[in-house]
Parts: sequence; C-alpha cells; structure tokens
Amino acid sequence: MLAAAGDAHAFARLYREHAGRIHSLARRMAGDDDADELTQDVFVRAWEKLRTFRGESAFGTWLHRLAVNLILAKRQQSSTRRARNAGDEALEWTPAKAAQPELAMDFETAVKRLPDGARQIFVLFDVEGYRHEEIAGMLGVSVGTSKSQLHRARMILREHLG
Amino acid sequence: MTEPVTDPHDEWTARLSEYLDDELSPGERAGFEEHLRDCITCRVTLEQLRAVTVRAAALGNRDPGPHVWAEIARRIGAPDVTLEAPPPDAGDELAARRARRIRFPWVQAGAAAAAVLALGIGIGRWSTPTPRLPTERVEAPAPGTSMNSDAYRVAVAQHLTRTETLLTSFRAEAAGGQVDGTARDWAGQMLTNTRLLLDSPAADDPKLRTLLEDLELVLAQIAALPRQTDPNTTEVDLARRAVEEKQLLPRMQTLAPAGSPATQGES
Repeated sequence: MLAAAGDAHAFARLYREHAGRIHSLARRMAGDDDADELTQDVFVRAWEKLRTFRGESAFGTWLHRLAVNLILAKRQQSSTRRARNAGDEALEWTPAKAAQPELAMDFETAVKRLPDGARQIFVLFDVEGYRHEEIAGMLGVSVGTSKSQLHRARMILREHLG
Repeated sequence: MTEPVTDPHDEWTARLSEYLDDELSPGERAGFEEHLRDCITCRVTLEQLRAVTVRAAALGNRDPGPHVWAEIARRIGAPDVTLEAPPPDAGDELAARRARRIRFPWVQAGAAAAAVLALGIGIGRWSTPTPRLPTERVEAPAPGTSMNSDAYRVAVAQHLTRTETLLTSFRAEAAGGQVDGTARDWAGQMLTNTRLLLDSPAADDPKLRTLLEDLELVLAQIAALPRQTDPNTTEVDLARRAVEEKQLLPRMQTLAPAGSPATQGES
C-alpha cells in the first residue's frame, strides 16, 4: 500500500474515496459544527497509523472504526468538560436537544435532534451497520442499553417519516 | 401483597425493535407473533419502525468542502497534494451489512411476512366495534412465489375487496355524519398492508401499482384523522373527495370482481 509507505498522493486518493462517509458520520454523531474538524482529525490519525493497518479487514472498515473511536473519544472529552463547567452529572444520556414533533422536519434533521445517547446508537446501528455487541463495546454500555436506546430513537423518528 | 399487573401489550411494544432486528429467541418470536395476530397497534408501529430503518439505511453521504483536505494536507506535510476524481464505490463489510439489514417481508424470513402481511390482510368487517381480526385469514405467499401464483392473486384480491368495504363505509359515514375512530384504525392497518403489497412482486403489475399508490395516499389521510372526528372537517372532506376523484371504488371493483377468491367463503 503506497499510502502506508508515505505516499501523500495515494493517501489523497484514499481520502477522496472515503471522506464523504467519514464526514457524514461525524456530522451525524457530533453535529455540523464539529464535522470538519473531526474529519481532519480522523484522516491525520489514519495517516499516522497507516503502518499498523494489516489488511485483515477492508481499509474502509478499518478507517471507519478508527473514526468512530476518535469521534466518541472527542465527544466524551467534550461532555466531561461541559459537565465540569456546568457542575452537571452524566450528560451522556441527557437530551441536549429534545426531539420536537415538527411534522415537516427533514429526517436527517430529526436524527440530529435525538438525545445524544439514542442518536449515537441509532447512527451506529441503523445507519452504519454495527451490531449491538460492537456498539456496547465502543460506548462502554450494556447490550441491553444499546437495544433500548435504539428502540427509543426509532420510536421518536417514526413521527418524522412524513 | 398483590402482584403488579403487566399489560402484555406494553411488554411487546418495548420489544418491537428486537423483533424487527431478528434478535428474539424462537420462543419469544412465536409469542410476539401470537400477540401481533390480534394487535393492530403493534402491527402499525412495527411497520413504522421498519420504515425508519429503511430511511436510515438510505441516508446518503456528503463530501466535505475542499478546505477540509487542504488542512489535512498541511498537517501531514504535503500541502501541494491535490485531490483527484473519486474512484467507483469500493464497498466494504459495514456497507454490505447495512444493505443486508434492509428487510422487506417479501424477501426476508417467511415468519415476518406471516406475522404482518397474512395477518394484516385477513381484516374482516371494519365496522366491528372493536378492531379484532376475524378467524378467516389469507396466508401470505411464501417469499419468492411468482406473481402468477394463485396465492398472490388471492392476497391482492382479498386486500382490494376489504379496502373497498372500508372506503364504501367511510364514504357513507362521512355523508351520514358519523365518522369515528374505527375507520381510522382500520385505515391504518390497510395502509400497512397496502405498503407491503407495494414492496412485493404483486406491484410489478403497473395497473395494480398505480392503484395501490393511490390507495396509500387516501388511506394515509383517513388513518391520520383524529379519533373523534367532525365529519364536516376539511380533512374528512379531502379524503372523501380523493376517493371520488381517483375513482378508487370502480377501479378496485375492476381488479377484484365479485366472486373472486377473496370474497368466496366470507360470511
């Protein structure tokens, strides 16, 4: 793999192939404001770690997992910082932006307005194709929590199918 | 001390997603399908959740602006490297998994089709005071069955016959000033069945597909009516006029004539 050997042109081709998916993942998981920066962080981290990619899975799968881990870690740091500043507790599962029953709301917008925990699990399971066991491992929650948050997200989103 | 009474409906409602994702044990699945047999609310909710999963899997990706790569290139020490046109989608394991998750009853395990379509299509008289299904049901054709088979013809004909009954009664009730929540409940169920048929090989027939699409719109209008509806409201009038203007009743009669397998044997 040329990119792993330090070929920036080869890496640019990989970026071109995968940037849309990584950026969309970041947008859905963390919001529009942070998506650009997170995408940059993911690809810079990928560039740094390319030598460790052994080709046991598709590059897209490896990159995607790296992206999910990085986005979740950044979100966790951000939540911790907000919690410290606000003297709040357990922001992870609080609905920062409550879903509102706006019938005309675009489905993508409705996803963004889901409570944080439910949104992350919904995006990882229904949009990205991860299994509950994988999600539970990534988020540090139980499989049961992953299932119940997914159901919660779907029940909210069914109001926005219009 | 009295044991708290758990409503079995609540228990199953919370597990609709697990059923949809095929994560129930065989015993639980059988129990759920037994519940589904008599619960219109769960059938409709299940179909809505299925629609959410389909919509989620269909969400597209959007490339970031050029400034994103420019910053990456700077950070990796290659500021002069520009982007080339993207190659065709190579795909990967996650994408394949996601595609496999999009399930429609006609192409997934027969159990789902049996639970939703077959049970839903066996609707019976919609004017029954409580919305329970009759004992007669049309079994769903097995997945992969040809559209030319009797099974599909019977399923389609029965659906059209019963939707015709619903719309005829709705029209009469709207004219007589007695529209109640029963029409809405049955329309919701028939809407689910209509969508299932639209996703099935039965909809390969262009004439039938057009009819089902028109039915979908009208049934959605009726299903969205409040439980206690003033028959003089604009919503009722719009639904009633849509039935007339789209000539739904004569079109259904043409495609599901009296004496078809659907109507034979009904009491």
